Amino acid sequence: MVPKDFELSPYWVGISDAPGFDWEKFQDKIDKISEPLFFLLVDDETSGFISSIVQKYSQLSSKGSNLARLIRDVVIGDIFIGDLPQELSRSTGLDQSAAREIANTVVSQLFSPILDEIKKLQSDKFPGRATFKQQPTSIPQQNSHYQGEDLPESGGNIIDLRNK
Amino acid sequence: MDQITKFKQKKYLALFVLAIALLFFLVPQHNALAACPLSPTDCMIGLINWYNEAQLQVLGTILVWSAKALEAFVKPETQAIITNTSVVETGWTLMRNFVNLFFILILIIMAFGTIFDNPKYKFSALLPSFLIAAVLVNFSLAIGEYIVSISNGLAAVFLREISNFSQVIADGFAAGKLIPSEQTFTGAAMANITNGSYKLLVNAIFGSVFLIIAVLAFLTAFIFALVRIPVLWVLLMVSPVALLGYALPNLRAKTWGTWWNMFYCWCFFLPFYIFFLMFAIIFLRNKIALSATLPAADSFFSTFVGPGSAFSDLLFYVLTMIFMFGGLWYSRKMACAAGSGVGKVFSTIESGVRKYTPGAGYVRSLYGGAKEGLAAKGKEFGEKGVPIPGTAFRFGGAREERLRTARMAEEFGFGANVGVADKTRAVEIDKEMKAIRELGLTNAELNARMSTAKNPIERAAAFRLRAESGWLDSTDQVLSIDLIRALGGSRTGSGAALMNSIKKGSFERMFSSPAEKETFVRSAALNTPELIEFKKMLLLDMAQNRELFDEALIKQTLDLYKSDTIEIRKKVTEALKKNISNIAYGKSTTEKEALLSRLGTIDSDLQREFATSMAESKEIMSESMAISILDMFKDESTESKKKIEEALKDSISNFAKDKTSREALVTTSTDVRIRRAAAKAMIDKKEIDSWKMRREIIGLYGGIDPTNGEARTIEGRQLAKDISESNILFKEEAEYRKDHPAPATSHALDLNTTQRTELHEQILSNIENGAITNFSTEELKTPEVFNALYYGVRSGRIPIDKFDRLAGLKTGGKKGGGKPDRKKREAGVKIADAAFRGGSPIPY
Repeated sequence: MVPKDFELSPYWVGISDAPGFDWEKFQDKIDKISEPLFFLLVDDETSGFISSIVQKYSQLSSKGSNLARLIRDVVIGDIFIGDLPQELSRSTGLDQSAAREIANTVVSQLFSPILDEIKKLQSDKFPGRATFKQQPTSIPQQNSHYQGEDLPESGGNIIDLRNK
Repeated sequence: MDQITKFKQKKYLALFVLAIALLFFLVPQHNALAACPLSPTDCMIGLINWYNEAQLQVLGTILVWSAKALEAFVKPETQAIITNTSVVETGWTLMRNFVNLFFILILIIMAFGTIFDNPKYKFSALLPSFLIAAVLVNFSLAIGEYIVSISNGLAAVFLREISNFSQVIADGFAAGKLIPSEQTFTGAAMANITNGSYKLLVNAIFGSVFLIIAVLAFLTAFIFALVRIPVLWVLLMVSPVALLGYALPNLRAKTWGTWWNMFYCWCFFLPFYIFFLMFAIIFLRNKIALSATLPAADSFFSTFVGPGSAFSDLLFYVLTMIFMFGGLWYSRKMACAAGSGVGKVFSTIESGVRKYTPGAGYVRSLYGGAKEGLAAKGKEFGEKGVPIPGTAFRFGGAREERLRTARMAEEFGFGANVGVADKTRAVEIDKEMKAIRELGLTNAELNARMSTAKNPIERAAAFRLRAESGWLDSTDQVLSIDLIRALGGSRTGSGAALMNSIKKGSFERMFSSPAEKETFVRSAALNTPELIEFKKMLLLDMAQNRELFDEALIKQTLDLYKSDTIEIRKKVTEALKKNISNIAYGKSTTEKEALLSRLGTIDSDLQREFATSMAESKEIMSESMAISILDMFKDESTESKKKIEEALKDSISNFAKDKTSREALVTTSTDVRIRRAAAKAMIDKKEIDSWKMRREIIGLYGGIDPTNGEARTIEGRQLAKDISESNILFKEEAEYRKDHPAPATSHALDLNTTQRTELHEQILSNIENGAITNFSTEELKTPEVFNALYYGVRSGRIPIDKFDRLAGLKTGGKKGGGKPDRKKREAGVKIADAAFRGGSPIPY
């Protein structure tokens, strides 16, 4: 039995998974990401943030590890950040709006201190999809309204990071 | 000399006194005469009388003729021949015309003297004497004749006083006057004839002496008067030459001074002598009056010293002799003294001219003003010679003279002066450099100086200064070769000095790149004997600056220096070592190994250096290569051996890639040096995780004491300390063994399974209580630590944040401490993986 805190750590999540997660590849990816991104994965605050989300959304009570896994995948560039709501919804069964809300919270709160690093990584990994506007400041704006939902190209699934 | 003269004077005085005394006692007795042959005494007296008459006749005649001849020659009419002869005038004219030509030469000498700042010949010093000489030369005959006329006139004054003096002499020294006649020896005087006969004999002898002296005196005077005429002719004819000498300080004493001395001596001797002769004649003329002043005849002395006596005659003769003969000596002395006085007079005149001649002050001030300006140029010309316009040569100069002397000394020294010429040239270049340095010239100015240099010395000096200032550029490459060659290359001191100057200024600007320098050093021109040292110097410079990129050049450098001293060879090798990495650059490991092998044939020092370099670069890829490198150091110092072993340990991982392989090397390698290197590599990697391995390693360094587990050697103890500090397990095991002493635990044995289980429990407890907060990668791999974490995580005794810290994922509990390396992360993952995915602890 894996302790819960290991399950909610983006770094350790999956440690108890059946064969399927390739630790070698994971370490390769860890080698390539920057220090701030690495520390986000192992930081106690990240586990605490995920834990608070899980507490907030009862549908996630047993699927906190899924959110931790998605966060890990975004940070190491395995999934496009714009796909986070969709992936969250798919893996946890949350409705789209809740998933978007959680994703927005993740971006605006968890990722805000390292948003530039995330943008850079995502731009490198997904050059055709990521169209981030260069902002003079990376201070997050606490908008209740998700701006990306109204953009025609987002299809309602894209988080617009241009104003983040 | 004075003492000798005084002694002689005293001697003559004593003889004179003795002669007077003898006269007192030995004068002939007038009344002692008897008839010969009846009386032998009479015969004796007669013989003496005959002798007296004979000598008076002969010597008196010579004396009279001498006096007459002297009188004839000292007459003004005779002496006038000195100045009234056409031969003198003709000879003098010729000499004067010839001498006048020399004034041009003197002007040139003055010019050079001024240029060279020669105090004796410079313009200001020579001009007054030059002017005086110019005047005197052309009036020398008139001056000489005038002086002769003065002397002759003076002589004529005295001669007038003693006109017809030969007759007076003849009368004064007439026969029978000296010795009394036989008629005077009559009557009673004959009674004492026996006693007086010897006195007559002595009297005759003294008479002879006085006559001879008188004759000699007149003959000498006559000869002087005779010779005076041709001597004065010659002196007058050569007078232009003598007076010209006044203009030249170095010739003045020998020409001017000597001429005036001789001229005055010969001119004024005559009047001075005639002056003394005048006194002698006056004495002779007045001898009777003088004799009358002597004591009266009735006294005891009357026989001897009364008027008409022998003594009175003798007194006159002596006084006359003194004036005549002494006069000769004194006249000459006085006349010659006048000659030296002339020199003084002219010196005074010259000083006056220099001081008071109109314009002299202006000339002095002009000279003074120009002096400073000319001094530098004059000094330069004096030292280096006068440049010949339109050519690259100089005429004369002290330096050229020194160089020529040195060359001659070397050429004709038959081996005794080898190198003198070169040494002199080197000194001259140094002097020239010093002089130029003081001018503080720029590179451009030195360049200009080189192009206008009149000789190799000036050129070399300017070039050396540029070189030492680091101003040589690529255009000087060929020039440097030419100059070194011109100076004889490295075989000469000046050539070597030039090379050193180039080296001193470094070749930085001379070669724009190491490649350019390499091309230059490869040029065939440098392979000549003159330039081979320059090539060596360049190669060494390249080596010291790590600019050798070619193995062949390294070999060439070593070859060129092989005949040098050990110290120099050592220095070269040290420099070459710096270039090994250049040669190895871009080569594969295999090529480097081949190079290492080749270096063994070139130089073992370089080979060892390269081996060390490869070892330090972790480029030793096989155990056999490591062993061959260690063999290269087998005869080296212990320190060198340790150094290479230390360097080699970093390459161990190349051929013992994992911990197990390294452990195998430590325990099974046939070469103890490799075992040690592998052991140190493991310690560095903190891979020593068992007491057994620890024992094995310390065994390589003197072994372990089983009673207390301590190493027997200092090095072993140091390694034991490194091991214990490198791996926390040993600290924990040491504590465990401390708490569980022998026989439960023996230092000679490993802990058993139970004991190791107890040990990992001890570690887990220390993690829980915070005594252990972090592990190294290797520690994470050790069974006891692995198992402690394994059980701790699984049981929840180690929470995630503590585990992350122990595994090094978090540093100091905060971000920014650096991302842990891959191996450490993997070690942590392995533990977590084992703990959470059905893995097992490491069995003991």
